[in-house]
Amino acid sequence: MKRYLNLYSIFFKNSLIRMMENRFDFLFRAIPTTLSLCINLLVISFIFSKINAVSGWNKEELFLLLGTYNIVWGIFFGLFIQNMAKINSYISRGDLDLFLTKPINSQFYISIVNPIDFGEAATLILGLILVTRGVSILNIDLNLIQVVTYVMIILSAVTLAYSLWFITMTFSFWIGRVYGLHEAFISFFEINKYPSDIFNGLIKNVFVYFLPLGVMVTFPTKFLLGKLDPILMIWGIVSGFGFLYISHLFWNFSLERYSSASS
Amino acid sequence: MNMSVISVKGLSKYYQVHQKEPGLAGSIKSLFNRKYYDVKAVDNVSFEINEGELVGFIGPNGAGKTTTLKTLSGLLYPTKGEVSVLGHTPWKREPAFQKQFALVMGQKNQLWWDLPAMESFILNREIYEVPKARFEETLSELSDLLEVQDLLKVQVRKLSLGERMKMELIAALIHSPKVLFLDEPTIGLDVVAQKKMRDFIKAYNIKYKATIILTSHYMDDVKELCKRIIIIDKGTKLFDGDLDEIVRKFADHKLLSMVLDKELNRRQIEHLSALGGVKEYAYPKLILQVPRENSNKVAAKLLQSYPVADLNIEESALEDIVREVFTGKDVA
Repeated sequence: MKRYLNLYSIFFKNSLIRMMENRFDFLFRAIPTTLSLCINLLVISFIFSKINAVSGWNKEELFLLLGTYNIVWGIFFGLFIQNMAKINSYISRGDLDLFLTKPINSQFYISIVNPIDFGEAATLILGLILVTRGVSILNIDLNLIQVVTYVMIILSAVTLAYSLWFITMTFSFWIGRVYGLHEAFISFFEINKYPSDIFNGLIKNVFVYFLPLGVMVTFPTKFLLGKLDPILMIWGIVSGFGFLYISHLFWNFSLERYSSASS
Repeated sequence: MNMSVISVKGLSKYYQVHQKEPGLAGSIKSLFNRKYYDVKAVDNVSFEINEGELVGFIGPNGAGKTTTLKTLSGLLYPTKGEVSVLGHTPWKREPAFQKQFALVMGQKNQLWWDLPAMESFILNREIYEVPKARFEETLSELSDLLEVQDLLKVQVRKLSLGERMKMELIAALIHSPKVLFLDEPTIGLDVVAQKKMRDFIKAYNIKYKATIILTSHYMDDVKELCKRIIIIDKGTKLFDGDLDEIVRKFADHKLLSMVLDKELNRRQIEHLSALGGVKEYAYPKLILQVPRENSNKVAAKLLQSYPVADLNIEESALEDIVREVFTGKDVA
């Protein structure tokens, strides 16, 4: 365990070095991120100029949701996007071999080998601003324990997002080269901009229990609003680690069946 | 008794490949009814390799060389057979095993582009859990051998191709593996770089008593480095033994390589075919292929009656010999 922490710190340090080499890149990334956030805010404001509530959510609550979305997105994308995007090509081109001969867990390695995208820090910061603003405007009182719990829920949301994405990419072993597999996942992920309450019945249950996308952003937000059922909160945290375990099983299972692409 | 480091018994690897009839109709048919046929990538191959040996695997494309190496590295599960490397079963991928070998494949890169090579070495040190002292020692030895001591802190993308290749080698060997699998190590390199690579491999083999298997298309790699070669074609082992042996057994011809000091007239040229096969004639160079037993006699005759300034008697080119083995001459 300590060894993996050491390894991770090396990758982290190297990502930092790399970012400092590419300073301007980081600044440029902040611009489209801010723009995109503003557009989302405008859309919500527009909707609420016509109606008062959407599925029991008012405007400020939706802003809070958007802020949480950006926090989860910023952490998750920043840490993993450079890696997830490449898994499909590593597998189909046989580059995976280089990882498999090393005495290191291959899932771990393939998930962090490429640098952290610090450009996403802009997303994270904007998300934090939006959430802080939302908490103050909605007069939400938070004690330390609640803040820590919120952070934990966010982290399990990130773990969940990672696991679902990783499971999706592991399908590359079974279906070969798939263009857009990873874009499809990102599009899917964007459902999180909307509270899962907008879905009814069966679809809602799918998104909360089966393919728990709905858990990732809606739950932490509901927690801040004091509207999260404790049992659901536990499900939120458990599902993060549960799906992580599933991703681990699926990856190992797929590796067993893998025969590397011939030269 | 010399315990073998690499032991392969009856190794076979079969694949099922989907067969499709050509054309659109064939594609549609294959959606519903997939036909498969077996490809025997490796078929009943056995050999033993002892510590410190430098063995060459040669064979045409698709012969099964890379598949064999990948199985020895633990990347593939065999269909049949037993394999043991350093006492381990490779495909179990035990860390204790992985820390002792290295697989280097042609021109695959593992170094980070934007960072100095040193950072990649440190990463590998951590991955392989190399003790600090040994790491420093190996790094210093390898960078001396490869003459890159001053370049360790330079960003990889600023290095020349040759320098990058050397850094890749160091990264791959920083854990001082006892067993090396080199898949086409000189492919894509220019002549000078090829020679340097060969020198390095030889030096590494001697210095660390490393056991090395190398696959290559280039006969020069094999000629210079390997005392023992294993010839594989269509998944089966055709020959396993000393390079000298294969030359003696299969080369029933020798080459007389001459430098002439006067152009030959027509009669002389015609008479040449009575003495042997003309392999090459481009004045002043003349190469004649003659049966082994006759080589001395023919050489004497040539020196007597032809304007020969210089004459060498050589073995057939290794390429020709190996080609003869592939085209199915008797291995007995």
